[in-house]
Amino acid sequence: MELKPSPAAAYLYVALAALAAGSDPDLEATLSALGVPADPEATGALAHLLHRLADTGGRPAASAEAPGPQEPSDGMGTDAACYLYGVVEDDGTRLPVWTGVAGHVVVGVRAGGLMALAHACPAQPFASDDRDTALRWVEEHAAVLDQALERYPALVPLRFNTLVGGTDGPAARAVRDWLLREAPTLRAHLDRVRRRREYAVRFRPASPDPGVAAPETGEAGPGTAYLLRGRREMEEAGFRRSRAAELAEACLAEVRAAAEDVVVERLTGEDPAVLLRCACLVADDRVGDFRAAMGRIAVVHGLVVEITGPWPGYSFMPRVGTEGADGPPATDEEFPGGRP
Amino acid sequence: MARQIAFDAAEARQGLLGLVVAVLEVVQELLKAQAIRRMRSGSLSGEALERVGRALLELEGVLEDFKREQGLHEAVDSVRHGLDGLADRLLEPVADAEGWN
Repeated sequence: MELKPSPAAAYLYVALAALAAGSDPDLEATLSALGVPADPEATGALAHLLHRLADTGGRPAASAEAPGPQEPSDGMGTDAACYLYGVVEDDGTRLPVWTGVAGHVVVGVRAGGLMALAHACPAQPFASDDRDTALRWVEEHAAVLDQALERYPALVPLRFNTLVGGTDGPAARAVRDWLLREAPTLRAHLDRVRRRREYAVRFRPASPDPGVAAPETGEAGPGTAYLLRGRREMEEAGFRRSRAAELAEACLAEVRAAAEDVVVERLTGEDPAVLLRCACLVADDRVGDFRAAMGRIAVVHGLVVEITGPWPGYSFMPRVGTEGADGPPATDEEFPGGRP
Repeated sequence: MARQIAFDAAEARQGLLGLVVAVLEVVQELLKAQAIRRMRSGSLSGEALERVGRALLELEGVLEDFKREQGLHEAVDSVRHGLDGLADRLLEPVADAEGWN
């Protein structure tokens, strides 16, 4: 079936579909599916309009940022505050349509070459007695940051429930002021994490369970396997406990040599199952080397290593002030990414 | 009377064998600790590691079989129990030698 609507009809269709769905349609994709070339100006304006409609209708609906070099129009409406996800460098391109916390559409607020990923909201933090709901919000926050991490070379992640803006004016103004005020700090951090990402590394003693430990011995002969087994037994028999601190220090020194920066979260301690847990900043083009180095450290010291990531560089964040923020800047409870 | 002497002789035999096997066990464990230390430091690897490991494994098997055949487990354990402190003192410097720095 060859149906080719006029551009105007296609835009109308897309707008209606977005309103009906109340979610985040990919405007450009929908238009191209209809055979209509997407005009950035037109899609931007449409997204802006949709967001306004959603604001007045009280229903979170589709929107995308409307780029405007002269008059920044960021679809913030007259909401009291901005919920912030993170800050990237303004590369002049449109922000993809991302859905953030509780169905809000993420918009870009630009100032001084920086762009805050945000959504407009009442001046009160997200709060829920329902644990699942709260957990979902935190995941939605993390999902936006994950997408931003893929899309932009550098990102300052902000914690869940970071709000900027008071009740005295359009929230976007407050965000722009905040961006300009914090620009030196934000830029320094963006430079620090550019094309680098955070990996969580955890070393733990090799499992005493031979079923789990078996892969370590690989294709080793019975003699080698015997000695590997003996080594494990020896370590379990208390050698490890008494030497754990030294071993963790040795590991840490080697980890530091392989990563650009390291933040230690735990060095041995009460849980004997974890020898060393740290966050490592690794250049994107050195990830392979880094993983190999971690593997080597584990083998040399008879440990098991677990690496997760990449994560937004939470551990390498500077102290960014959010004066004027309403409510707590973050839930200190857990890592916003739900890191394991 | 003869029974009494025979009994004592059997006990003495068990005790002596137990002592010998216990000492051999300690030696085997010392060698094993040494091999593990060298494996960890990387100065023993590949074929040599396999050969040493296999020899130690066989020695352990032989000692274990012998203990079972001769009913020596109890005798060896009692010797080992008395030797434990000594064995630990012997093993410690070996395990300490390099491994962990």
